[in-house]
Amino acid sequence: MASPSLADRRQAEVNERLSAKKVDGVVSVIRTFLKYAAIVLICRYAYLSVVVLAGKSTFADVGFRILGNIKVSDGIAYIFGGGGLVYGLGQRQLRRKNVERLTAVKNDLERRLDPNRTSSDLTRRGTTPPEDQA
Amino acid sequence: MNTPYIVLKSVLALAGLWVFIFYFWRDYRIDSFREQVFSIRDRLFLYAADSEFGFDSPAYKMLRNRMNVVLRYAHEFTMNRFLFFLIFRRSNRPSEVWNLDQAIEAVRSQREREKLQEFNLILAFAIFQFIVYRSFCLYLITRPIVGLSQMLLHVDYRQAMQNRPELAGSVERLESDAMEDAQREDCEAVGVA
Repeated sequence: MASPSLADRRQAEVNERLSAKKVDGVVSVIRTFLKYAAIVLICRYAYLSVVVLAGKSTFADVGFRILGNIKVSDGIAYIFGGGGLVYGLGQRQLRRKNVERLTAVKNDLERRLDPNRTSSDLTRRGTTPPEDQA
Repeated sequence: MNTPYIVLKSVLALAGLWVFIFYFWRDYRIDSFREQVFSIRDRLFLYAADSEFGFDSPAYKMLRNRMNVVLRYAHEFTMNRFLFFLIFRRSNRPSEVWNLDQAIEAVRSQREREKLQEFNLILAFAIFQFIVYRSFCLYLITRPIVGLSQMLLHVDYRQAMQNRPELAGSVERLESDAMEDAQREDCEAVGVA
């Protein structure tokens, strides 16, 4: 059997990309729906809890019971707190990597213009040198 | 503590988690990925400066262009698209990948050819890692496993990816897709100008 021509291959690639874009579109709609459905549910349960606290009503809703479970509540709080910690540490690492990447070239260029250029003597990542730490 | 208070506490934590996942985490992963690609591109630049092939080599130009496109279209590298290319993979490699392979093969030195292939693999692995870590849930599940297996068992995931061509192939298709988008947008920009 003859191998597919270049035009056939290009056409197959275009078709594949088109199908990928269609899948992307569907997934994007589902994701957006879930994103805003979550906000609606959060608002609903916030409202219900305030209503119950005000003593206007009592609820035996399944979602209300799940969110009212102390273990579930603590679990959500731990994930939120842990996520924040990972995010903070990640941002710090990112900033240090960025300092390391950008300052190396800049320092080299500055040294060419001014061989007597002085330095802060911080580490390459912009942190306090170990020998200066108390 | 009575139930409505616990529900209110859960709801506040969920609202915070919602903002964190849909805004902060997403942007942080993209920033982190871009920083990684900038670093790879800088290393490629320094390597090319000391190499025999130099900055005018088609292999260097293509690889750098690939990295630039990856930086620009990082937000489009999603798990669903990756899975699509993994499930519906074809036997033919995209023409951009084929052209890059040809350009690397044209480099005279064997050591430099291998190094360029390595840069390409590092980039593909960075994209794969980004796709997985982009989802906060997947990050929570996979990051401890990856970290522990690297620390205790010395697992080399980049090497593992090299041994699974279907994974690298799907990532290459994502890259090619982004290259196609970049070319189309450039053509449209020229048309408008």
